Amino acid sequence: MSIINQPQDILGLAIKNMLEPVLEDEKILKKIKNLNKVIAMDLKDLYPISITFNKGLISIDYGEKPKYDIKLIVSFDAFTGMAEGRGGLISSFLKGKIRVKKMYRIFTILKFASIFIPAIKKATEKPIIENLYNVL
Amino acid sequence: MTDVIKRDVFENVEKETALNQLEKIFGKANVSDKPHDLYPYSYDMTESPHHMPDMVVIPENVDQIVEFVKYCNQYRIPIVPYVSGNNVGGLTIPEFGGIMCDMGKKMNKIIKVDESLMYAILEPGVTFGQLDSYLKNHTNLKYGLAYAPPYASVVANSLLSGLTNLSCCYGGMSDWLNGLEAVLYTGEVVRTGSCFISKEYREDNWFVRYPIPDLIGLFMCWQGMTGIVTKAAVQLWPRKNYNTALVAIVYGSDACAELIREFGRSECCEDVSAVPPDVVKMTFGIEYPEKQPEEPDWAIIISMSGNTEELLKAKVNYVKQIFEEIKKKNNYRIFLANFGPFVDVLGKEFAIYYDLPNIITPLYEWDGCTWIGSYANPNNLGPLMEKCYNLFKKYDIGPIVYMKSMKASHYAVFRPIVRYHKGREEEKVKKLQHELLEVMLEYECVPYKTPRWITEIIRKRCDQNWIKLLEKVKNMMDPNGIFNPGKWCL
Repeated sequence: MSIINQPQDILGLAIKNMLEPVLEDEKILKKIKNLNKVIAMDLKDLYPISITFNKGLISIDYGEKPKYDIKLIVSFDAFTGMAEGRGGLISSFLKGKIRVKKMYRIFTILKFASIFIPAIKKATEKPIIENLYNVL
Repeated sequence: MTDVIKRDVFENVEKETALNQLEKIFGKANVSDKPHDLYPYSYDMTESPHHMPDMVVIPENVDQIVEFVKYCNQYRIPIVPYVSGNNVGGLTIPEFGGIMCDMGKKMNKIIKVDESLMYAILEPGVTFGQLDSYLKNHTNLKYGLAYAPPYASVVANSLLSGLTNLSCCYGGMSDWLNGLEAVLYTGEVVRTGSCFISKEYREDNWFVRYPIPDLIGLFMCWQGMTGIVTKAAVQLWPRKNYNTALVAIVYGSDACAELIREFGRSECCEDVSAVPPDVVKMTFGIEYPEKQPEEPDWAIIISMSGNTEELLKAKVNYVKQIFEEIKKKNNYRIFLANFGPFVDVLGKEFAIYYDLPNIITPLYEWDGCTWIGSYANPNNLGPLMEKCYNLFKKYDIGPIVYMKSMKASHYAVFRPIVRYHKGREEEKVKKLQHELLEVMLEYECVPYKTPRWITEIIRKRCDQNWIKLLEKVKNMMDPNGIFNPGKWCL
């Protein structure tokens, strides 16, 4: 089970860095194996990336693959908010900070959320730099 | 392979005789002429030509250095002062041979810290890591971190106009020197700054540099060519209770230049430094990063502090206001975020941009690293970034450009850095360096820690009266040319 490519863009590298630690979790591994989908994530102030789950392998690529299964449109503020623990994926969605294309694929959305939310939580649960205030 | 250029270092005294005399001064264990001991001093990570020294000595006190300098001056033997050799300019390569005076090994004491007057007296071998650790454990003061390895010398960096992560507030490290002690070619020991009063009349006090004639300048940026500095008093700063850092994600060089300048002018920031995202990618192990079409061009890291939370928040709000005004006025594509979560998402490798070891790790992963460091006109940063970045691309070399606002943006630092594989990329790197220098000189940059090839080019453009004065001072301070000969082409 692994991420099969080295992303060549900053956002892709960040997503890879967040996903890698949760690949050690058996429960999450099982979810990844069952999710054979392409997730487009458009960080709308910056640029889109695509995360492809294929038989337990993950690849992260710059740009939006045309045949995505769902597409998350995320504002820069929502993305940083999730990283800061100010808002989760679901609450950001409910507040309209995240929009979803192909919303009818609700099971894909939920499956992806069940992988991505723990990944963000794990990455941010203990700040790497101590005693640094988040004041924005 | 290290070259040995023909020279006659020992034309006035037999090498064996000199070796015996130096062993008397320093002790046998602290002198060597063995090639395996000398080799590490013959090169650095830059493309500067290698050259073997003839001997190395390891002093542990000023009295030894006095005897050493007197002896070398008598027989006109070159002396090259050395601490850790991290200057990135070939400044401690003994281009005419001679004796390395390695002060990094035993002259590394923090002699005194005056908490009340906020200064520390340091021997040349004291490192950034050592000083930071001492101050953290024993005081409520701090110095600054230099985006250099933690084993780099504080005093040597001060003498070479280095910079730290507090330079946006307080300027270059040279400005933080209260005084110094140096051994002149005669063996006389001189002290400058407020410690100039004889001990007969007053307790040793190094609390201020002025208002006497500023003789510190006789040793500043001279690359060890005017005497051996044996201690220096550096200013320290209060450690604040509340700290934060922001990151600005920026599209466009003009936007980046304006933000650096205006954040600096706000007088709210301790540090405002910018790098292209390529540096982040190199930290992830991508050797030759390719910029994707919609990726941002620059990231600016802004650090701030305050004694109270309210004060810190007020500073952040003001910086944010500046950011929003610039964004609105120019319709720039720029974003501001807290730096901490940014690091959490990208990984712990990025924490080092904020705290010790405080180095840009990709710079030290390959065997070659060189730069053209300069003090720059903040108004010229935009075109400098654009043109230099394109030159990196022309030569297919991963672009590392480092910029910083200095002293509330009175000036800036502009530093294109090249990492490379020694032995197979040097020619390409030299060509790139020459083109970078042309652009930087065109846009009014003033290079610092200059290697010989840059000095040769600058000298041709200098006012000749300035050169004459430089030579007069050098002749006065070192009539026999023993101190680090060859630097500044002298």
